[in-house]
Amino acid sequence: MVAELDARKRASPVGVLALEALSRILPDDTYLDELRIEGDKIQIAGMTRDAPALIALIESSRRFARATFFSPTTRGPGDNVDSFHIEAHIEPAFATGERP
Amino acid sequence: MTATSSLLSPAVRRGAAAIAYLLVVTALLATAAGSALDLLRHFGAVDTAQARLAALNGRAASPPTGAATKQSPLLEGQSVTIAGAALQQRVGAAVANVGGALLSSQVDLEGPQAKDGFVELTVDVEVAQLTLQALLYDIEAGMPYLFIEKLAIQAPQAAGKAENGKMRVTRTGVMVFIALGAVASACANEAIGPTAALETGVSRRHDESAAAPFSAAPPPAPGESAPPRGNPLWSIPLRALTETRERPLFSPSRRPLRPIIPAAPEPMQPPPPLAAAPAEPESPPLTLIGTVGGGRLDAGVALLLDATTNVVARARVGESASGWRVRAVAERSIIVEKSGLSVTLALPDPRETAPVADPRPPSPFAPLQRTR
Repeated sequence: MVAELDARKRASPVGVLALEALSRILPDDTYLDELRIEGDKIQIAGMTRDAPALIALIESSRRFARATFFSPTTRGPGDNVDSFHIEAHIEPAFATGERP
Repeated sequence: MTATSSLLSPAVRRGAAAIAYLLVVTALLATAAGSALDLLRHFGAVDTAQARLAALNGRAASPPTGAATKQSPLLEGQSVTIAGAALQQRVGAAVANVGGALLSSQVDLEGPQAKDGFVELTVDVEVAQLTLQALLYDIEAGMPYLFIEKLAIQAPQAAGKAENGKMRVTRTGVMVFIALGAVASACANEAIGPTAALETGVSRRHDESAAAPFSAAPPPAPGESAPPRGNPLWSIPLRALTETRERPLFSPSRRPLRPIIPAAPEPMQPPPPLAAAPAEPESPPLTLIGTVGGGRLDAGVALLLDATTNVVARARVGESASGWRVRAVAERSIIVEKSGLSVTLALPDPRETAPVADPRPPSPFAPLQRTR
């Protein structure tokens, strides 16, 4: 059973690594208001100067795949920042034995 | 052919057939033996590779602190409810360790994973962004193995608080595998060692009707190949995850947070002279330095200084300077336009002594007023 739990740990997405990867990927003009992880799905909501660029940035990371906007990106009148909602799939951190 | 066979006696023909048969069987056996030897060689190579891999994994994987090595990845308890309370204590201690506040916690003994032996806990926590990472790491790398099923983090500013205020971690589900009674102590003793014996016990606990344990593999002898053990996160120390602390995700500034003292305000810089100020892309690089005949909106002349070339240009209404068309000239201001964008340029306030200095700090474009 311990071996099974080890295997389960190995296959589970790791929140602390997802946070680290997002902190690295997202540019300085972007910050989050909310982050949710459920199973291997991550949802982030926040403000940025260039929302469409975030999709490519997240997709380019090995930690994430299939990034999409799950809600409309909005920009208030006179604002120069987008309010965005992005959803992505978290790749297992250890399944392939990779190290960050 | 028929003539030759008919010449031989039946006995000779039988002997020849027997010899031929033996030759064929021998040839087949030799081929089979060759293949088997080949297969064995391949198995040997695979074993060697696996042993090397296991050794590498074993070197990398060890719990982050010495204290954790004696603990089990399973939560022990005399009953499910006691195990649930122990999970509550474990998570509560993790929150307290980082100075957070446990707002609510609820054990779910009948969660979706209950049939697999897991107990779930849903918690609401308030924690500083500075220490959120340490809390998550404790839960994800600590003992017993805790699995975060759901995580919802809300930034302090989203709840109307200061950037270095506390984050809300809401409706977050943590679960742990529980082991009861004798199985628990067996698991605890063997947690980091060979696992075959307790696998049998656990399988019985979860499926009384199962005739065979779900793992028939013998315990691997020391030095032999084994599946990777331990939590893989142990190979990544918390201090190596620097980006989360140096570029905090939930801070608009994305700069390391200082928990107590806010940064001193920057001393006010004197406004740069207008002529030297870099122009915004959509702003004219022009400074109005005088008007002639202002007031008659369709007939005035504007004197304009182009900041990029330092050339003074004269433009009547309808004429252009540096790509901007003069639409109207008033006594102390003019309106210029380009690509549908209209900008009002004003003369400096006469009460100011320096003629080209910006009268209203801090914006170098204070005299500009845009109209659409």
